[in-house]
Amino acid sequence: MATIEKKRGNPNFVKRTVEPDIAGINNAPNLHKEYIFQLIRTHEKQKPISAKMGDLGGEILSPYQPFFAVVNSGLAWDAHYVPREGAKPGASRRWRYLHGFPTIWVDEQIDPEPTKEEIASNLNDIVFRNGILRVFEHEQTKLQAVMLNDAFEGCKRPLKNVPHQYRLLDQDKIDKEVLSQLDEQFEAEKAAREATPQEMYALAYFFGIDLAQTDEAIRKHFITKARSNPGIFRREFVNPKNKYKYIFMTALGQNIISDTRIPGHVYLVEADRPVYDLRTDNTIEELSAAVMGNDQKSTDLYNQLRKMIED
Amino acid sequence: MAASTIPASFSAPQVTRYGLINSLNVINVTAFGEIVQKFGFTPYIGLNELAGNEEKSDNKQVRWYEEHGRALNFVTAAGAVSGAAGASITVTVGAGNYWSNGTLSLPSVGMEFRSAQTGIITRCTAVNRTTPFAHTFSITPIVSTQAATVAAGEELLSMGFYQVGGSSDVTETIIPTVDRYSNYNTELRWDTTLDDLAMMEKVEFSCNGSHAWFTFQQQKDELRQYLQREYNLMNGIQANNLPYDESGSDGVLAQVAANGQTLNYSQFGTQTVMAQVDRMLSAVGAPGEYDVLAAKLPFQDMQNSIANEINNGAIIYAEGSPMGGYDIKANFKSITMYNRKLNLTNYQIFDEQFMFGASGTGIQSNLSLWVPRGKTTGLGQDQKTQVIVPRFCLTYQQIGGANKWHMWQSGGYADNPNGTIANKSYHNIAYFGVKLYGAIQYLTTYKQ
Repeated sequence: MATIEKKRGNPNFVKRTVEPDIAGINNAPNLHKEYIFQLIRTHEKQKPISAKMGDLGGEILSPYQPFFAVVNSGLAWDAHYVPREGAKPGASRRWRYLHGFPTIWVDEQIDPEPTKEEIASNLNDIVFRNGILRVFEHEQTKLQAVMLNDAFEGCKRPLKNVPHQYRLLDQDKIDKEVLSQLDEQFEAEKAAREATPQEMYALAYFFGIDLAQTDEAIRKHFITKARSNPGIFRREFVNPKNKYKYIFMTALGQNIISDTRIPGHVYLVEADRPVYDLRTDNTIEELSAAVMGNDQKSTDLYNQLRKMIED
Repeated sequence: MAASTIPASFSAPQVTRYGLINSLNVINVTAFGEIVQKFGFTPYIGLNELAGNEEKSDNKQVRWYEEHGRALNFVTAAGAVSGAAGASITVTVGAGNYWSNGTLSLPSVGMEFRSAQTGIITRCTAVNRTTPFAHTFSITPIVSTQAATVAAGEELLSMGFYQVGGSSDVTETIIPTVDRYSNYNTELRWDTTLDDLAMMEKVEFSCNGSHAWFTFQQQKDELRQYLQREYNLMNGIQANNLPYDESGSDGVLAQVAANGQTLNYSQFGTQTVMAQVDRMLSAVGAPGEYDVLAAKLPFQDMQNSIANEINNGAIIYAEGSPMGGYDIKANFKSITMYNRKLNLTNYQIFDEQFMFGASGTGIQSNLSLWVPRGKTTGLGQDQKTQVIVPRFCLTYQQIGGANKWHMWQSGGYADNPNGTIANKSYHNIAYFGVKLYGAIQYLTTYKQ
């Protein structure tokens, strides 16, 4: 007799995942658990504007189509189905959502045989109202019908190339995303408020904020940019190229260097000598890219200019 | 798919003389036969235009107003709330039941509600509209042995201010809101320039490198423009990425996709799909007659299904309808089902194989559009007179007082010659849009 090795630890502490039992319908359903499906396509532009006459920016109603019925029968792939004895599991099967029947597979809907009225019943209709369809977990066959539909974004093996029409809203995922956005917004604003003036100038240049105004005014615009687009703000905040660009831009603006005295060369104006040979017309981009690439000449020039401008 | 129906490639825009007359000038080609036009179709928008379902518009943007919702209203419960028999519960108004940026919702003190799901009647005793989009209201069952318990999404139908008791005081005003819809007219233009050499040939000539006949060119432009108007008024959408200032225009399908209904089905069955269509239409108070514009595949499915499932294949009307019988002549065949008259036709505009010579495997090859027939009524701007409008309405503009289809000529050989160049240009331009009154009663069905 083979020895069964005992696993250590308390089995009750094993991490459990809760997933809908879509294929098997074996788990006892949670009567209150609700699955919310949402249409993908919205129509903001075509929607009416309500109530306030003359107010074009007024309230827009639901951006979705008011009634959208998805198919309630068809062919679907059943990974567990064995079409004949000895065959590999997996085959296309005809399905039909019949309210009250324990299965959606037509070949199993035989006892009792559905009546004409049951087949034509309005309870078999699967209709999104204002873009939303709510299905409770205990409505397992309806869940199955909605989730093996070719038009469902999460359909594991669609049989037809149908454009996706709806998706399952994952509330946990949505909460995480919203939280992560809120965090990002907070971090971006924090960085904008705490940035030194030099850091602020460099990034203000990237965002196109006019630097010919007071620091308070620049800071105000700076914080607004961080709030309105936190992702890009945080990315660019740590991008050293913006600093290089700012320094070269300022040096050109203050006529410390010139790229027009002799075309193709960057000149130190007061020393009246060339310090860098240009290969392109875009002086600032080329110089800052060269510094990024650890080019000796441009890095020396950058360090010199930075001292002159910031110190 | 026969490749010959695909048009030949179009050349660069220059006029060159076509060399039909050879260099020795031996062959004199003068006899020419008639040009045969092969492809016809049922112009549904054109038929509506002929029937007078059109409005001249003063402005590029057209607006119209429709009542919002029904005369009777309801609210849904945002979440489940349990209550004891005879006790009050506090319910949050569900999403989609607010207006005016979430500051207003239906429940009002004294209003009675009947739950659509349980049938229990309750009376609203308190309302809190402090937080936008999160209004709460308290309801108490009007029978002490019943519980006001609601489930999430439960529909509470307003019975109005009912059973208000003696010496009742004034109740809150419930204002019906109005939805403002809008669309635009947009331009459709064709130009053809014939040079004097082309006009010398008379019989066959080269225009932009294509082999053509003088009058056929103009006829074809007009036909093309007419077909394109039909196609574009069905398929157009508003634009926001054109390199010039142009709003575009929402076609019929875009308006139905936004504000109408859609039904997907896998197999057409008269007693299943047609019955569901009828239920969906009835749920929005649809009229008793519909035009069903079906691409070839769903049209055949419908015909097969009706013939198989209904004795005698349903009733085919000989003649007679509000449109004076021209529906039959225009290839509509009518049946009655579930007390609704359906005029079925194969609408070739949806058949890309037929109209374009394309493969015919696109999504529209499985499309049917259900258009409510007739007219509907409402209040005029003075709030007293009744107005009657067609359900399906073409809009057009006559810019500068010109014709609906504005055509003019230019060049040294124009009817009124102008300019120095020895040629003649025809210019066609038209400004059209479409508006659907009560788009919610329009339906598209897709076989999937």
